Amino acid sequence: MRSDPTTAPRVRLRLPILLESVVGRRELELRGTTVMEVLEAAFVQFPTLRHHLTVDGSSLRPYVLFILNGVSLDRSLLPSQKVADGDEVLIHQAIAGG
Amino acid sequence: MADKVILTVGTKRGLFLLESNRSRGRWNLRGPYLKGWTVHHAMIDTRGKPRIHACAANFTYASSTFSAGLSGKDFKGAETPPVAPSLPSKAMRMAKQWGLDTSARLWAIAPGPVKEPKVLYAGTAPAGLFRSEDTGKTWQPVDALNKHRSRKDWMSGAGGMSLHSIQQDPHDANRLYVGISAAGAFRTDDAGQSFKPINSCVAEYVGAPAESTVGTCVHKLLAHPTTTGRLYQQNHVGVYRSDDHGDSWQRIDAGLPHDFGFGLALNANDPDTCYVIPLEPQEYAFRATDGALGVYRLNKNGRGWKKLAKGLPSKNAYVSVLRQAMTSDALDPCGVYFGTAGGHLFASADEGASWQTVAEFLPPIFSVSAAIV
Repeated sequence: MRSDPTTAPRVRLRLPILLESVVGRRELELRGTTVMEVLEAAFVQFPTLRHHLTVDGSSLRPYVLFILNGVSLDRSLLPSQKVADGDEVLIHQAIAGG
Repeated sequence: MADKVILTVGTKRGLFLLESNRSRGRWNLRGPYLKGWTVHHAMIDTRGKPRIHACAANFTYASSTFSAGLSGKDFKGAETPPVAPSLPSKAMRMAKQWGLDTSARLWAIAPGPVKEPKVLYAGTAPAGLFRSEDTGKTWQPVDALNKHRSRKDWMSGAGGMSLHSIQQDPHDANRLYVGISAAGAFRTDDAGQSFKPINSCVAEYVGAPAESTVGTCVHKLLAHPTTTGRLYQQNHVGVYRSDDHGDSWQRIDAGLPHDFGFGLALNANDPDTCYVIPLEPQEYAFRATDGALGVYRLNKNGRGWKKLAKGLPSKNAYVSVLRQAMTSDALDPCGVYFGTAGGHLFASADEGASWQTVAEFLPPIFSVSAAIV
């Protein structure tokens, strides 16, 4: 069940630079009680973010990291990971290579 | 009067713009724009206030179209980008069996009719055609093609099943041509309400059932901008010309060192001329013939080819030119341009008679388009 969007914690979502040209800004201020709720709020505000961050509009694309206050999150925890007022969620491209 | 020529150069790592005056002797490069994105195709739409439109992809994020003014500094992604349809089951089986690319990408973006300046078309892989009526902000699938009855027989090429060629008929707003690898060419005469395959007399490639209307591997298709009904295509197997809107095709590659290639360009002032860059065939990995880079021009009488290589590397140039990476401008004399997968960009301001290198050491070049603004 979604939290009340008027009272849920206010969280800063930082977007990767490549998606700045998609939505026209690097940061969004959103409300949600979990990381997934924050993401869903971003998808409502900018539906094109759902296109870029998901496969077929549902599952999150591979090689995308979700970092809460500097800590990379296990994807399975996104729906349950609580956030608080002033938290920062960073979306970042996974770095791989070698 | 429009007095600038701008080349939009899509590369593996961003978009570059090269600008010159009508003499086309000196070029200034700027960019990269769309840094971090792979730009498979870009063009400047001059039907209204000129704008840059691009198709871009990234390893991590989904593909989208982007648009900007000529400064290139204000690119904005589509609000509802095209989403490629899935591969037909037969093509998916073949792709898995052969390890072919099945990833979803945008391959082409093109203007619609002159009198509908907000209409754009985009092509995807797996093959799909999309139409925008708001200059690229939102896109809708063209189901008459994307759900065509022949789709079950469309096959993937090594580069995927891509809709790479989109040509608005310059004389009929309701007529549009598209080219799909490896399905063939299609035409609508009713503004996208229905499509018919136009592959009669074109050599079959692989996979299609005998006597199928699809199964040819068009690599690039262009409609001549002034001559009604005249089309050219560089195919996997041969170069072809049509004088009846694609209802029939004549093979015109006799005299070329190879019938294989990707790039194709036309001369707006001479409908009998076209330009190709033959590449050694698949077994030799699609390189310039014998390491000598050469553009071939069909003679003005439409018979025979002339190699045009003045100013191009004549040895040790084992490069490829991809299907969106060759183009021409509409000036007289015609300017011809192409980029290589090695990041070199060549330009001719005299119909191909001589060439200059106008950029070097760019990322691999995927597309080159020219506009007069």
